Amino acid sequence: MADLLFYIALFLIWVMLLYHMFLMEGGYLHFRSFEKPIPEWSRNMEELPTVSVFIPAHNEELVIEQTLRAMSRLYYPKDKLEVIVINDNSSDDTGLIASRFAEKYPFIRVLETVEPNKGKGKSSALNSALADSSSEIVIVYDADNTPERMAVWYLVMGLQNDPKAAATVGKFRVINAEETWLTRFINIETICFQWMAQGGRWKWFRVATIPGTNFAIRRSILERLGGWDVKALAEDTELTIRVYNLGYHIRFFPKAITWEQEPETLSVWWKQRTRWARGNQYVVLKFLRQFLTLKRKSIIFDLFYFFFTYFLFFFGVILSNALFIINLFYDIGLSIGNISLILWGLAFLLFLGEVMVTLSIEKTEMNWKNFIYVIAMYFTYSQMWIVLVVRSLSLEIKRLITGQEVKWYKTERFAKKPK
Amino acid sequence: MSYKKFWLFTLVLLGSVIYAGNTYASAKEKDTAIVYMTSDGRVNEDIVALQEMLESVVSVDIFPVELLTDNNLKQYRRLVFISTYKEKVPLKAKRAMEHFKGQALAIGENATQLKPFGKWRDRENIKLRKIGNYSLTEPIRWHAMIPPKEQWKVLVHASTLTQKVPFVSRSLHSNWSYMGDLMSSTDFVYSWPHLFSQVLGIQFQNTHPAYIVLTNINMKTNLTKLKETINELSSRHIPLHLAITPIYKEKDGSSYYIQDNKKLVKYLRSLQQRGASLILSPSGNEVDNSLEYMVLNKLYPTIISNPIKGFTAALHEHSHHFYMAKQDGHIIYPINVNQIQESTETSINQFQVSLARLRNVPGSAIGMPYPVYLGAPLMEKIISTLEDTQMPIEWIDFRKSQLQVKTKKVDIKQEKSGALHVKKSFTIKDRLQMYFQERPFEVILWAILVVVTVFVGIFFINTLRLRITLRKRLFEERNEHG
Repeated sequence: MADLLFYIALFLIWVMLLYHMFLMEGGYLHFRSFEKPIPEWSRNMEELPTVSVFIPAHNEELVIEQTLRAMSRLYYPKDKLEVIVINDNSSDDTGLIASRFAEKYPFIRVLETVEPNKGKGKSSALNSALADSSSEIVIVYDADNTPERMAVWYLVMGLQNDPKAAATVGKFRVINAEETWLTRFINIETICFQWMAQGGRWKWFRVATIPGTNFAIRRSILERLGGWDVKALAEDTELTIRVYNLGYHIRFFPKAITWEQEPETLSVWWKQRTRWARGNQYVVLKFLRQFLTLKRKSIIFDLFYFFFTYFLFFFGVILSNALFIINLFYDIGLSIGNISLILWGLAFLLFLGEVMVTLSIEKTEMNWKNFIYVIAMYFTYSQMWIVLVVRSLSLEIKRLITGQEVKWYKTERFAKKPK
Repeated sequence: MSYKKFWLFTLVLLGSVIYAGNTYASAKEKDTAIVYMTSDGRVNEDIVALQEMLESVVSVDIFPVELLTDNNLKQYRRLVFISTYKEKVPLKAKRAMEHFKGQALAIGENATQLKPFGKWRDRENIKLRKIGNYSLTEPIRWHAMIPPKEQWKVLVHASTLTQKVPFVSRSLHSNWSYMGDLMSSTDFVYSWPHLFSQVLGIQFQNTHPAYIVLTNINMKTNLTKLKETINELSSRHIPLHLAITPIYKEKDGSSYYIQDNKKLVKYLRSLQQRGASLILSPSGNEVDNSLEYMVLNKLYPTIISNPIKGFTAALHEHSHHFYMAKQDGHIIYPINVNQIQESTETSINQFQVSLARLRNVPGSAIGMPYPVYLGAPLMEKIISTLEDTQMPIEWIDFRKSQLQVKTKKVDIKQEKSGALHVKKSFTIKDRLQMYFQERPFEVILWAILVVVTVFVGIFFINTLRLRITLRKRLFEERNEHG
């Protein structure tokens, strides 16, 4: 019995690890090839579409200024660009700061949300802006983002040259990586996620997930979909699946880069990631019932991947850990030989290998300090995710049973520390 | 007669005596002929048992009655003619047997076709309930033959509920004796050696060859108990014979492989080096597999628990046979003592009964199985019980025989000195197949290991390649971002 449970655990864990390994190689190959068509695509950037950049902002006074400063420097014809700060029920100076920029830059404006969308969260805020704008392309940035000068240009380039693409997603980097040990971990995590999950899935399956920020989507698609799902905590994942179900794909184009602020304290990280995990669990549960009716096989596969990640993989990890601990104190008759220990070591090496490849892609990130952090991360940060997913799942199950409304948690921001 | 001629005559005489001695020795080689008549022309269990018993003391040749001629029998000193169904004895054979001058014994009703039995009377079929002193567990239908009283001496009577009839008789005026039937599956078998020495003049040796086979050795064996039992035997200089089940199957179908108990395997190897004889005791029909697993674990069995092609020696479990014998090219070691299953008085009593019976069979082998889970204390009791019988015993060491195991992939030769010569020819594919059969999931894990190792290697090469060849910076780094 113990053997059977252990094999189940190994299976659940290794299916994911092997899949990620496969994705990682795809991410690496994508890195080596994604820039090649840029010269040709650039020739197709003469007749540009109109673009609206949406920046949902709720009490963002700490970060909104630097965000808008970055927006003011965007490389895109200003007659075809508008930046809309969606001031959603802020009680601080967010509106004031945004208004100052709006006065200075004609392509920046502030949109105050009104009832019934006021203070309902990001999806509602984005829907307000969608209703209040008319450009052909919608680009979304979180309020803590500082996109690089060419970011919008490249996002639009992706759409201009790929009629099958409903959206283009760029890459985000951590601006406050060196602030705390936590932001260092998150920095490594985000680099790895983007090259492995986004780059790898795009390379092998032409699938990418819309992140919460730094993505461009065609208005026509958004309108066909009826905008963002206001109930979804992970509105980006939810939107991804609906886009694919329409028959379009989402292009991962890491040439478009933005820098964003990540949680510097554990409590903020916990709240933000719980929202993400719950959001993804919500999406899986929502679309699980429609599994067989979804049109695109690739997205069914991707949904299954989410299901595996947020339900089965963590179950496997917990089961494996439980068996390991019980076996320390009580002989449960595990007969699996040294191979399990070797695999355990190999899983660590695999993690190390994967992270090192991605850090090397982001050239300056592959240094001794980060190498030490990567090793520590395996035993600390990665393990924190287990607890977090279990907690999120319990909350999501509770929500399903009680039917209580989900309260949107807005990530707290941190003031930029003087150097 | 000159002096020279005298010495020549003496030498010739001496030579003749030596030659005669040699001739006698050669005749001794051809001691007993068994002639059989069976419905299918094959030897049956009774005949095999008889042959084994006789072979333990004299040389025996066996013929179907159809092949018998005068010439066949001339060189033999003794003749046993056994028939198991009523049929006319071929004329040639009849004449040859009637002309036979040595001690002869006829078994079965066809005997009456021979001249010496001319005056015998047929009786109707009767239900035998007892032969000599041995009661039959179930009555056996038997066609009784009655000898003329004045010419035959009855040695053993058989009984029905109401009457007694002669069962074994010896002629007072000829070289012939008669036995009603062999009935090797009944306890009558215990009286065979005594009867055969009476009717054929065969002398059985008194010493009993004995051996203990430790059974139930598999992956789940309690090593401590095994060690204690081995120590008990070793302290008494009793040869070690270990019946090993390399693939042990539970009733629920789950399999346990001996190599999963590494300490046990290591200990068994050390015993093998110390001179223990290993016996393959496979589960079900998995003989080849089991043998190959043992060999891969450097455990080299030279005997198998039941006769099978490829092994020159085998045990004969739950045997009614008394003597070690050669059968179809196999040396057979009978396990003829009831296996003790538990340390209860009843079980020990059964063991004592088995011994008591064998005690009446001169020179019979005493093959004792002993499950190792019973441990050392009971073994001590068993040996004490054996010693208490005061039977003359000679411990047999299987390792001191020339044996061979030969299959497609394995060739194990054991010399009389105990030396083992092993040749294995397992391909990598064989080993992989066996490993996969044994641990399919673990093989998958090893496959994963190989694949992942390759990928880890690729990732480190990728990392190296990126660090060496990434000349142009593709992204603005945050340090430059400001």
